[in-house]
Amino acid sequence: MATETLKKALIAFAEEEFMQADAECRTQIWTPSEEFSKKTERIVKGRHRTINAKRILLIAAVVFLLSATAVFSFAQLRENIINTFREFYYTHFDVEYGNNAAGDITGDGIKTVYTLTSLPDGFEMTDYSKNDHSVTTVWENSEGETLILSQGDGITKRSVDNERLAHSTSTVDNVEYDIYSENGYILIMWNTAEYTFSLDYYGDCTIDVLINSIQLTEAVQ
Amino acid sequence: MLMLYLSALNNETEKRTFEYYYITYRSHMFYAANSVLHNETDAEDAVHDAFMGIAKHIEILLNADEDKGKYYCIKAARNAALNIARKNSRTETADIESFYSLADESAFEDIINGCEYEEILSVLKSMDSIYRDVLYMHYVMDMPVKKIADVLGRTVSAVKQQLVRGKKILISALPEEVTASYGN
Repeated sequence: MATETLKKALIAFAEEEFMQADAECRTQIWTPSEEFSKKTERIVKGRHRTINAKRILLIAAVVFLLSATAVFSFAQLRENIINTFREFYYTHFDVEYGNNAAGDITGDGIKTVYTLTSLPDGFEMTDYSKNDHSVTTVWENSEGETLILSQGDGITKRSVDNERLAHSTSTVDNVEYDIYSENGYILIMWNTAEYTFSLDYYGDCTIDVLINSIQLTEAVQ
Repeated sequence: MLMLYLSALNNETEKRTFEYYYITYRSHMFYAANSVLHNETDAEDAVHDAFMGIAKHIEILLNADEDKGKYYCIKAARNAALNIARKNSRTETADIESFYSLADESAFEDIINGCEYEEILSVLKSMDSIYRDVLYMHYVMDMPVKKIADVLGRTVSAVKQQLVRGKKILISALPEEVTASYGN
């Protein structure tokens, strides 16, 4: 167990160092450069890498497969989208998805975990995290292209950069998708009756190819 | 994995925590980095590098009170600046040094516990910040070596050696009667 005296001394010295920086802040004004602001805010929005490649990625077609117990209608989806609202910040806005009629932030928990039915060649799972109310799966290939599937219950909120991302919608097999994109990055969000989904893609695939290839299947636990 | 902190920041609480520290302390981090680099462009790069490491282990800020968290951010920025400074000078400073392997942690703590607070503080003030910051992250923030390495942008072996070296410096600078039985 670490000695308390040493910890106390380390904290005291850290406070002294902080006060030096604090004094600078009070006497000078630093205006972050635009490049710094954009680079660092990518971290917050989970977009830490810059896609430089100009390759065309062909993603194998996958079919959207719902759980046998999940029944939803286009009307309900539309209601969920209407419930979406945006809180605007100076460089981004928050998009909220989910059935918030009851005003609940979280739902009843993730009972069925979904995954992409099939993946393009070369993609392998590199990360997986799960808690009671969300599941995130990450796949990457050797060329730095990435797919991230997020599943949540209740209300799911994402921050979307409104300075750079173009917004569009698309309906495939009665599922309405909200799409945010820029060169090298696509974010797709949609609902089912039970869950909210988002798919982040880093690479050069087109929206049409990506949107028509989303197919989910129940994951093996 | 690179995506670890990305998926971590998908959680709303973690994202808001990160944003809070980013907005509140980025200027402090900038000045800490600039005090090392004396170049605003490089200092911004250092702050960005620091935030990359912080985001990767955002749980450290979640589990820390604000005072500890802000000191941690300052140290991350300064160490990122030191990394850039070393790269720019194209010379490797001796942050990997030969060292005595410490017999055991309990022996170190026994000796430190026998010291006065002012004695320890005095030694810390004269210690190179490379070692002091590693000691802070290890003992105050309870960070394992791997996480310290990730945040500071160093190898695990370098952090291990800096941790041992920092403790050795502490021991060596303390009064002889306190350390007489140590290091054998």
